[in-house]
Amino acid sequence: MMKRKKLKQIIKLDLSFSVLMIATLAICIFLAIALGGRLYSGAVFLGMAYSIPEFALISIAMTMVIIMGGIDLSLVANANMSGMIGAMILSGAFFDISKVNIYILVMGTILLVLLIAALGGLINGLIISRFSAVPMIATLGTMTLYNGITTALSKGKAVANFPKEFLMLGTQKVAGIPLVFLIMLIAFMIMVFCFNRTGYGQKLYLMGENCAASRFSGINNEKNICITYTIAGLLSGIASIVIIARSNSAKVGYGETYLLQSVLVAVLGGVSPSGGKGKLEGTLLAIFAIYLLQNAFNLWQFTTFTKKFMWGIMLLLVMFITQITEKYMNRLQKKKKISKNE
Amino acid sequence: MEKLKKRIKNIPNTEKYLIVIILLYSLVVSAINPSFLSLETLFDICRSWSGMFIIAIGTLVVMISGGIDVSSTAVAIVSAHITVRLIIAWNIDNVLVTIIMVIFFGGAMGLINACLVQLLKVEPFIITLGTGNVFFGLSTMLLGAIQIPGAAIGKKFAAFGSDPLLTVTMTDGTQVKLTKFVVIVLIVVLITWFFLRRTTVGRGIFAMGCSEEAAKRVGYNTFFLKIAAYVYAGALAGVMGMVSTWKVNQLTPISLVGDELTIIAAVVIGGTLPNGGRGKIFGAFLGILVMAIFDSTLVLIGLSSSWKLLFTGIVLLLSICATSYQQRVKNRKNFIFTE
Repeated sequence: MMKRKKLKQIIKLDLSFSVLMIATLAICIFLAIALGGRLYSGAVFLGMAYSIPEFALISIAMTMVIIMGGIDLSLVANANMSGMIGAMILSGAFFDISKVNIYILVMGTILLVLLIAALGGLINGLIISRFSAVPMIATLGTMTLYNGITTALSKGKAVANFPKEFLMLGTQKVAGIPLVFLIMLIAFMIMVFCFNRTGYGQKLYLMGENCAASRFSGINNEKNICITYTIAGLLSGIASIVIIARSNSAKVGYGETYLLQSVLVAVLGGVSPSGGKGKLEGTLLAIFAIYLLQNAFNLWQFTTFTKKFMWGIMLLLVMFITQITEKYMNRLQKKKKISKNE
Repeated sequence: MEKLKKRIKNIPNTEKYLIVIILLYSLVVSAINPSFLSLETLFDICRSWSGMFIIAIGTLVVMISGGIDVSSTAVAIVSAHITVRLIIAWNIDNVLVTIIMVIFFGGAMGLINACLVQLLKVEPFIITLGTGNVFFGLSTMLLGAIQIPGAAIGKKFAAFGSDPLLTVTMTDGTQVKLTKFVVIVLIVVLITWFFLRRTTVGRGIFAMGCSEEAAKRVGYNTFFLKIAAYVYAGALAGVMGMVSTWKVNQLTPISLVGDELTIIAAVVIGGTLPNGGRGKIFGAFLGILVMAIFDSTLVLIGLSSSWKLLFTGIVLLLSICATSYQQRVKNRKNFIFTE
């Protein structure tokens, strides 16, 4: 009895997180029955460890921004833009790279890519905070601009062939775990710490819940918006390095499906689409579930259209389920209050 | 003269700047390449951008109502696909029936959007992102993704897209053709203008865009208004799907999808307020015109088409900043603080 009560309390405490946990578990069990050893094997998990990070970084950035009550459509475009600039330096499109020390070149490029991506995020933040533009529309604008810069630079072609030393980043393993996965984990830990243990994170939650309230409690909303979008840009910059190191090429329009999927992952991870609620941990769990599903879809040889349909219907279903459970819980609470009063 | 001055004064700032930008750019282009200033360019733009303008008007209505619709292109191509399949199956070869059918299917999908937005109470962006993928995925799964040439659909059907409304013979003997799509566009513009400015539902959509709560208290049924806006947008999206099928005289079930953000960009360039409550058909027209001009003339001034997005992005960002900043100043005066 005692145990059940505790479980109930936990479920009530974080409703959407529990919904996610149950959903993830259900997906895992279902896939285990349907595919078994073909899916749950070491090779599949190693493959996932290589392919998850780029998407996870973008999803973490998206989750942060959604929790704050905004949305960032320019993340993938930003990653492509900074990645393209890095790729052009590394492949010697701007200057002769054979004269420069290779390690200085690689380090310099990485720093430059991160800087450009952060700048791209900062521009988002400035437009949203100083001009009061709606986040969706503002980032739609910067998305078009960044895609435009990428296309104008590359003329629509792919840029490839980077030095070995740079590609090591994508293939290197540390203690059996791919380096890119570790980079993602570290970035994730830092963000989780910021969100749960610092004032900055708490301010973001308040801002997402009620923007006017946070303004009138003396929080500098505009500064926080700028910081958050800059961090989101920085994360997409890390993602862009992972992308070009892993795929050994940069191209306009890479990862266009990530936009839908990152929103899906955030919502599935228990983030309220209107902001103020949700946890980064949920997003990571949701990414895991989504990647398992994606591998399963590949094993079943689904077409891209079928996959699109599945992602879309999942997005709608998740919102439907949260809506119903929320209503049910509210009704339960009301009943309890009434019975207490009596 | 006085009247004209008043008229010009009444044009909102964003639209004034846009007209100036379009005129300046046209001047530059025609100075570099005089072939730009021809009837052919005009008729070409009419042919290739009519569909985009129609769907932009639909998106405009939704954005005025305070929502957003990123499923528009999916609705367009899916409703066109279903209609074409039915036309072939039932052997109907009638343009009017085709348009009515496509409006019906587009409207039905708009209705689904509206109901979900009302029921789930989540940002319309995320709902329509989901429904767009569902519609598109479902149609390609069930109906396939095979291209259907216009000739296989019907004789009259194929002829509607290729036969011109009027043909102008130039002095050097070349013929320039104007498409029939212009008629559809004019009808759509007239109906939309009447719907938005002269009906209670249209005024209600404006009211809801300004403040949903206020519209509710005044006595509007906001659910009904949402249905009206989304169904209207869906119907126009359907018409656009058909027009784009006529344009290339072939149905490609996987085309169009991916352009939805471009359409929203065009509407936003035209000075539509992203939060809703303000927007003009003329603005959407200017937005589409900017995109059309960049699309067709960059080659004329010696830049490759890969610069198109960059130019569009710059104009879009400037337009967003100008529109939002005006609103911000206005809001601050009334002690409304928005981020």
